[in-house]
Amino acid sequence: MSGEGENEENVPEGYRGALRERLIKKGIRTWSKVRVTKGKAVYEGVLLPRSQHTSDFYVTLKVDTGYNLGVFMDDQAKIEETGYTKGHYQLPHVDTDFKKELPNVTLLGTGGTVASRLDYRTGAVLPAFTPEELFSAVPELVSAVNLTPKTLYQILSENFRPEYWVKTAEAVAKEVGSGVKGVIIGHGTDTMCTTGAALSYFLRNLPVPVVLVGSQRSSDRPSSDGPRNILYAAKLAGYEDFAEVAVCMHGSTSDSYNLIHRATRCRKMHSSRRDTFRTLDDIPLGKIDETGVTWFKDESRPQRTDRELLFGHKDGHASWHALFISGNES
Amino acid sequence: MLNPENVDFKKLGFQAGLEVHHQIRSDRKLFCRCPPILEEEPTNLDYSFYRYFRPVLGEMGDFDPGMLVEFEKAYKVIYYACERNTCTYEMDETPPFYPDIEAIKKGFTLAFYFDCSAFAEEIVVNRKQYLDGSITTGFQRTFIIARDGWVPVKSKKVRITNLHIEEDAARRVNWVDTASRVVYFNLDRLGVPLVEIITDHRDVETPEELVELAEQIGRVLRISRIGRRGIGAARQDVNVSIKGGNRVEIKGVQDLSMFDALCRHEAVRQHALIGIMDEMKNRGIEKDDFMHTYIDISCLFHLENDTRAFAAVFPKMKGLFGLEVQPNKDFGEDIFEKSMLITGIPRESHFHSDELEKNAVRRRSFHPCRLSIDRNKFKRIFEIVNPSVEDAVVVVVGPERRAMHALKKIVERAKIALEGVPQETRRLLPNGNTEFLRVIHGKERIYPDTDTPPIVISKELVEDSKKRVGRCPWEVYEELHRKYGLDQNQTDLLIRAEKVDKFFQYVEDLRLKSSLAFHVLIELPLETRRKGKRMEMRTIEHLAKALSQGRIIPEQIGTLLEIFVKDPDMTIADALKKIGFQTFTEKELEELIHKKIEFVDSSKARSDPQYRRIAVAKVVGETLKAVNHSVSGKIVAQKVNALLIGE
Repeated sequence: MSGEGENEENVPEGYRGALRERLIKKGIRTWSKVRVTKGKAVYEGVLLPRSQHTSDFYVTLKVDTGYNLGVFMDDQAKIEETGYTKGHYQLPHVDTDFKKELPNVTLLGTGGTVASRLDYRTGAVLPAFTPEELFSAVPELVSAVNLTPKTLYQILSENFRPEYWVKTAEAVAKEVGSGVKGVIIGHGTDTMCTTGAALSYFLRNLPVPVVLVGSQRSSDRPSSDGPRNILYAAKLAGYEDFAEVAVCMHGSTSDSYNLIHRATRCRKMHSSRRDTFRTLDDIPLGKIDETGVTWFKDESRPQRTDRELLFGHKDGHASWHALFISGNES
Repeated sequence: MLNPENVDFKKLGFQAGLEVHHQIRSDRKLFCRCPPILEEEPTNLDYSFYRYFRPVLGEMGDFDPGMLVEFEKAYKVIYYACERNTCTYEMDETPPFYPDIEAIKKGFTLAFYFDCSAFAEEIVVNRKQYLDGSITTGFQRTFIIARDGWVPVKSKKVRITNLHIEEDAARRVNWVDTASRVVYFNLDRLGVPLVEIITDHRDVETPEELVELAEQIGRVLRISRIGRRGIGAARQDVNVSIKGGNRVEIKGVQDLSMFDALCRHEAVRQHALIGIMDEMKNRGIEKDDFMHTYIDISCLFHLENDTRAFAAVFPKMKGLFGLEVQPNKDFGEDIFEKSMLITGIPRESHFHSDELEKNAVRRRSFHPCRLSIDRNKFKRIFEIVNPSVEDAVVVVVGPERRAMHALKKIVERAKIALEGVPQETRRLLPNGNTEFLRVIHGKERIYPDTDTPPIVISKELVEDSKKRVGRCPWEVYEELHRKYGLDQNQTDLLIRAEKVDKFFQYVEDLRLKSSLAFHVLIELPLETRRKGKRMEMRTIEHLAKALSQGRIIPEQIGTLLEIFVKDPDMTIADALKKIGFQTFTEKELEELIHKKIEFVDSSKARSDPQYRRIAVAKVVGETLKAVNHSVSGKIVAQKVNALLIGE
């Protein structure tokens, strides 16, 4: 579940060079309980995987209090294994049965951090895309909509290329075809608006809402804006009568309300603030908070099923749109 | 319940330890460049915002149980912030900046003071989850500096297990109602660098040792000049347990004089809880006897809409909820503290069946039940819930979901009672009792920070920190006591005023007597301050030098000081001139004394010792007045004695 290869089990992960050889020779691997002795100093703890871009000469230990620290492994330092404990990653059971009375909504994951968990080894944040992971992070979702998470890609949003827009549009179309009430796209925030704009040009006669959502604080933090964003996005996609590509993100630094932006009109204004998204040259479509949605504009497109969903990129030249959209963006 | 005034700590197997949190002097906060200045008025604000928090999956994919309880409290957290001491870091809108290296160095210096043996050679910043809202990120950034040190306490060594540097949390303000689901914090204190010194929680065996331990650590922070001064700069968490009990952490004790009471009250509580556990086992109670069955008895009360009354039966528990566990607090209320804090339903809306007994403890409580339940009403409750005679009943009144939630917590807590004392973090109350704050946090709540890279600690940094290490306060005391007869109190005053070095300089270089040096350095400024005036350090320096050179005598200090307080720029020479300093030859002095002696009966003085004492004192006083304190009183007294009685 945590995505680590079996062959990594018996080596000290992330360690390099002479230190790695030394550890392997002693039979020490990740999660080994070790004792390092350096003169008077004794360090006891669990050997942790070493993250990238750090010095080659240190071991990282998790001591009995749960704290981590690094020890310089010079020639005087003696290291020995005293035991082994492999932590296993397990999640609380969450009842994810579909409820008839709730609308069906699909969450397409593209690699953003809207719902994710910490990767202990690298310090990286992994997307949480099994239902258990998602619902244990945001338990309120279970009673809001029937959410089906699907992973499209696992890439950073700055690496999003025009051909991914096409694939995303196709994936949305497929979901629409299967009769969902709405689609949410979890997306990194850097290029969220560009993808949103692309989708709004690609998908003509859209019959349901497509809501892009992300988080400015990754969800490995208790203060993350992600859970609230995804919950509001799910409610928006599941219950509101509109059919556009929208961005639903925090409207204020407080956890008070989210703004609903038309994807073609919005822009990320700050690298790290929660309320980074703004509708430019216009007002947002509306806002959503605990009491529900307030529409600011009455011109949002209603849902309609009498016309066929069309693709704007029938000729396959996504790049033409890319030019158009990026011009629009800047 | 044991008498808290008369606790045999040794017999109870009392053990304790400390977690001392002390702010570090610095020019900036630990992870941003805002100045560490506190607002005088904690409710000051330039802007305000609010947040909600939720637990995150730990590195093992599980939630810390302590964190889940925090989440159940469902706090809305409102922050007050001022522009001058906060930025987007405190708002949790920016990642951390590079940590303050000065603070790290100070951490290493302290570790040397405590003779730590294992140092962090690469610092890994950790996140420690806090969901009470006191930190906007939901976690505190904290890291180990060193481990395995010690501090001497009454001729034994108390082990220091860990020394951390971390960011301080925000200040709770408007704390009126503990049951409220809205909490307020001021962000001014958030991010101020803090050292956390953790002692082994098994090493202290009496409250006196605990106080001494806190004082020793405080002395190190003072003598090293690393600790910030002022109210709230130091806070202690006290870990207490007795044999058969469990480690209970009592949070944020600022006043050392409370240690004694809190140790006594907590030892008594743990002893009572163990007694209750034994009694429950005697009665053959098992965990599964307590069922999550809540019976709606709202029909018996006149309730507003949405408010419901629920009852639950606790089989074979009759008489146990009514047992006193701390002065004026029964076991029932000890449990209700927890359900109140988690669900927000006040203790006053909780009832247990032992309250109706004669002389029930609950009625003496600060939080007695305010529900209208008398014997008649209880009879009707009895008819509905139908318990057996040896059962107890608990009633909770409140909004439907919260009231059920509260009962759920009470049932869970009753099950835990079979294990004795639960590990909890508790809050100290003014009367020495403690109150539930949260389930003790596990190590699952600590995980690595992904925003800060590991920091390699260079040899230079360690050497530089080591250079700043001076003598330990216990060594200083030993020397001051041995050489100059100073007691611990006097030593503490010197340490607190940061004047230990000056004292040695005055005594060893200026050759002042130790009592005089202490007087000039400590007592004089204190007296001056009591009079509402300020005395500058350079005045002390002037006086000490002049005393050393024999230009003035100790008796003149008082008169000179009055001049210096008004005009600190004046030189000693000018000041002496101003008070009309004169020099007297021995003959002149004797003539003067002769004149004064004429007013007393010298023959009576020779025969009557009592009269002599009064007469000598009077003549000395008159003479000193006449010479304007230019001559030492001791010399005058000698002369008077000689002239009056020919001694």
